[in-house]
Amino acid sequence: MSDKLSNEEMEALGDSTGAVSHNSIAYNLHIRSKLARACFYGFNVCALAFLVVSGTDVMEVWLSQVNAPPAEGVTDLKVRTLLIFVFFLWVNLALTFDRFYIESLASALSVYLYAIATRFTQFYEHLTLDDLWPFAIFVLLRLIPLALLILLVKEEMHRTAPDRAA
Amino acid sequence: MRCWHKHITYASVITLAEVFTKTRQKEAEIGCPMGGEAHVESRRATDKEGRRYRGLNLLTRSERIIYAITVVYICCLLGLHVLYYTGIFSSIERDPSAMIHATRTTFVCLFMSVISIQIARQKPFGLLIVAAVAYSSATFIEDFLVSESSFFLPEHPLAGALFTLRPLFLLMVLYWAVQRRSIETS
Repeated sequence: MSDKLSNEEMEALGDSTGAVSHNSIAYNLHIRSKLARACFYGFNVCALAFLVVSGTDVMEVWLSQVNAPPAEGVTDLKVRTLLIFVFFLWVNLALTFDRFYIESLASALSVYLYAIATRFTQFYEHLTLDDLWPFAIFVLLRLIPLALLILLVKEEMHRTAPDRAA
Repeated sequence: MRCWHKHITYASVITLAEVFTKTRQKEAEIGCPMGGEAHVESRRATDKEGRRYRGLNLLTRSERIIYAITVVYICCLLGLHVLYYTGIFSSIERDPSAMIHATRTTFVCLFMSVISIQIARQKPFGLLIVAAVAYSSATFIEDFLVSESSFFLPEHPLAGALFTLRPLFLLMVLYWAVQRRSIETS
């Protein structure tokens, strides 16, 4: 990977002196592909949306709509919010300093998969046909960040492939 | 009779000595597998040698010990589920969080299976261990913060032992992840 940037690239980064910090989110986003950048923005939007929504009662109201079982043995929503916040922070810091980025993505992916699996196992035996629409929206909303994370991991693996081969 | 030694000058002797020294240095620079554990003296691996050892993905001794302990831990966890579902340990009422624990055990078994397959295939598996550590930490935090789902069958003595050893197990796997990633990315 070449660290030298062209004049247009330095202008795009808003720096005319040529001293571009490698520990900046702008630089580390710039050296990645367009798809990776788009996925990163999408992932951040999803995480922020979840963090904002979990501060309101929207989730609890929705849970009561789909005949969700009582809270016995179900992990607390606040714990999930805390985990999402921790991973959101870790992925952003890892990208900014370009350290442990792929590790942060792999961790976020595994924990997110686990979160989805536990939620599905919580619901599946209580679902009826009336819950089809709310449940379909629930599935879609859950699958969007999952797809974004998978794409980010694939892009990062693709980007670092020459370094591993060398 | 030819007097050949007359042709040997001081310069040629020095050149010969340099060639000899370089050859010995080259011979000494042979591969150092897995983070320099095998050789005490400072012998650097060449690029080719390094690639070969990285490709082989040999486990170090500490990794092998951690792998064995992890397998034993998972077997004990599976044993608890067998006891529960076969009804052998039925002195307590049905645990409402059994489904979540079953999902967790499935995840653990899946991680271990995929890691074992990668080891057998001699492919990199550092990221898988990182993912497994993140998952284990997340479940540990959940259990620590949510009191009602502390552990599966908490009354059983085996569960008690597993629960006590959990932080140690977590640290061990974390060490494995750090070590494996440092080997694979070196």
